[in-house]
Amino acid sequence: MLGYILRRLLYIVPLLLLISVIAFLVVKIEPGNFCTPLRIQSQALYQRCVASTGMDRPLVVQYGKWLWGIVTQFNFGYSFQNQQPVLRQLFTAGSWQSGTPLFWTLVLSLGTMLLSWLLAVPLGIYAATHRGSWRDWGVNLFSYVGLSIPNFTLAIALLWLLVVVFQVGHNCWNSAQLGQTVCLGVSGLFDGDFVSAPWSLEKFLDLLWHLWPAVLVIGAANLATIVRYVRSEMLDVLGQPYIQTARAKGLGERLVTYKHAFKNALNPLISMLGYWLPAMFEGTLVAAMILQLPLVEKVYWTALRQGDQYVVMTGLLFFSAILIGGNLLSDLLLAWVNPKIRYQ
Amino acid sequence: MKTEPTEETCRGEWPFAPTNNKPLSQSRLIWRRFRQHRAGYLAGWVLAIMALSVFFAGFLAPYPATSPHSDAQNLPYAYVPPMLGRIHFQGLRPFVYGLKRTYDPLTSVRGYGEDTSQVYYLKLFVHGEPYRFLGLLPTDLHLFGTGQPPDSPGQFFPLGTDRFGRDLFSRILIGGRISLGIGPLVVLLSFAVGILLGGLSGYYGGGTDTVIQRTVEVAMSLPRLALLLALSAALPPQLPAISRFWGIVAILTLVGWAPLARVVRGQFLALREESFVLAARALGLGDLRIIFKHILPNTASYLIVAATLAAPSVILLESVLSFFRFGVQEPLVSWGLLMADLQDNFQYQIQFHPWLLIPGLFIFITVLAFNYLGDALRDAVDPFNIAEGPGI
Repeated sequence: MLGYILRRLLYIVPLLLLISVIAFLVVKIEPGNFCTPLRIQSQALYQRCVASTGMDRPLVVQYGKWLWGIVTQFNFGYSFQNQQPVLRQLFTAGSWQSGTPLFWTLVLSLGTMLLSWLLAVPLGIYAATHRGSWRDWGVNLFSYVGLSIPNFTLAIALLWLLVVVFQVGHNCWNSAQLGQTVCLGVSGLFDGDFVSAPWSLEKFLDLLWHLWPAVLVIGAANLATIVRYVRSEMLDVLGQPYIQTARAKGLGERLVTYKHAFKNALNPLISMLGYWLPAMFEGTLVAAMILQLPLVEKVYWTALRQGDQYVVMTGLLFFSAILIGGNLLSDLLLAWVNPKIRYQ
Repeated sequence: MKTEPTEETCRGEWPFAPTNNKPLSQSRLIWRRFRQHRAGYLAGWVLAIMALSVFFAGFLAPYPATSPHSDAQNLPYAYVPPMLGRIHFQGLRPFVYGLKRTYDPLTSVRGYGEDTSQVYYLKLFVHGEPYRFLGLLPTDLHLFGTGQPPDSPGQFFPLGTDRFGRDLFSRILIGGRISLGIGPLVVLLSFAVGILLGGLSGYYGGGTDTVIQRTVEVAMSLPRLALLLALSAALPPQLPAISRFWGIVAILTLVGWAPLARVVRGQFLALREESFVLAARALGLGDLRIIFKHILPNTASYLIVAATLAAPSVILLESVLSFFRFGVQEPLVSWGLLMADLQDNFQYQIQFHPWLLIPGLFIFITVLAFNYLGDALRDAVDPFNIAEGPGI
């Protein structure tokens, strides 16, 4: 087992190297860079900018320098746009009061993951044990809807509900110009003054209030997928002969469902745990962009629009690393829960 | 609780029992099982109707997608609310009143009202603004409309207009060509790559397999949406809209082929050991002929299912890209792009122009239908499928 893990870990190194090449090339073929706007002002200024940022060197040299910086000093480059190192820009910018991008990404992703599992597993079991009834039908329909709704539409529709129908934004005023109540301030993570305020109960409640649309947008598709998996796994297991044996022994239906069926249905699900963090990435990216959440994904998106090359490269590399890590974790979990799998 | 199957229940439960002693072909069996999945069958019809209506979009839509409308003073009819609720009837003849700008000096609210002095009848097969039927035949015949020139106040915008006074309903119908078409198109291209690489990988094994599998692994370790955004940012901005569209298709294919190649490889690995492949090889057939004539037809049903299940994610990805203005660009239209207007001054837009959300409903219905259809097909082609029973 240890050898297997080591082999898998070693295998990640060339994979990440290849991906760093791809990320570098993808960013470098983009037309224009940080210095391009200067070209309109004066050619000399542009030349100086290009020389000082090292963008006039051959691509191989640039890549080599970038990689060398990563390997020797864990330095992923410099954000020319914001005049700070990439790692700071992408992960640790901000203060203790307002939180850092990495912190919020972890909180949102893990929180959403936990919530969707807590909700989805009982729902899936319920649907499986009530197979064919209208309740099963309802859960099924719900999971199809969750799977099919585009997350940006869901995000906008939620904001529309909050702002127009319920008028629950924090800053509401009766606009004379528009003739109806206007509410702003449902996006972001905090309302106005709370961003830099010290932590308090009020600030925490404000955070929770801003968090739930994001959780819903990120979690909808996951919830639906997990419900479907739990339901079909449970149906599979409930059809096995040993369940019939358990029932024939006279065990109660509750015991059969939870101890015999669910425990066995859980195995393939556990292996998917590691798969989930990267799977949520797309929802998180969309939620961050629409709801203006200060996440790593939002920084990546902003950098992409500003042509902040090294931030984009590092972002791509980071998201890939999470993807690879998640896959590795799910493989290891699968090997751990299923003794039939060989490590060769 | 299951009862012990007797001969009667067996016969009763087995819905595919051949009638008049003729064995049913595999495709007939699949079709029967598919018909039994009511939701999947319905989804198939929904998609067929949608495909037909976007195919004849030019005729069904009351206006061309890109024609702006403005009043006599050249002020655009921007953000006219949906007029479906403003159809009036004179006897059985439907009509709309002319558009009138309203301004409330007390609240300074600008909007649109009905000018009851002008009556415009809605007519069928009306001569309206010119367009090319199916992109070829120049004509001005529309299924319905008021038949007024673009600067007349007598317009009928069923789902409202955008900021240039372009009819949203027409734009949804015409934008459906890209939004609906890109799913099958990209899946088809991804499959071409996937079948080639996956097939080679699974059929030959050994070194070829290793190289292709490592490539697949690299491709699957890349974050889809982030890479898509970065790649479409790399498309030069001065590219014409149609080349950009093909660029987006290429990028989506680049991101989507790997999982499909993996499915194909699995199928080929399993089938290459079958005796009919051995027989074909013994007959001296070439590899390509074996791959395309003998192995591929045997996996076709699984591949069709995988394709149907892959289409929704492509449609969703395209709409996300276009929504963030990284995808299809004007003058082309897609459902994601139609919602892109919501982004500028976002909370203002959803408050006062919520009808811009309607294209999202169409994306939702399409993806829902594809998901149901894919699941129904999957259940139908699986000969061992007994667990699920008739779908919802």
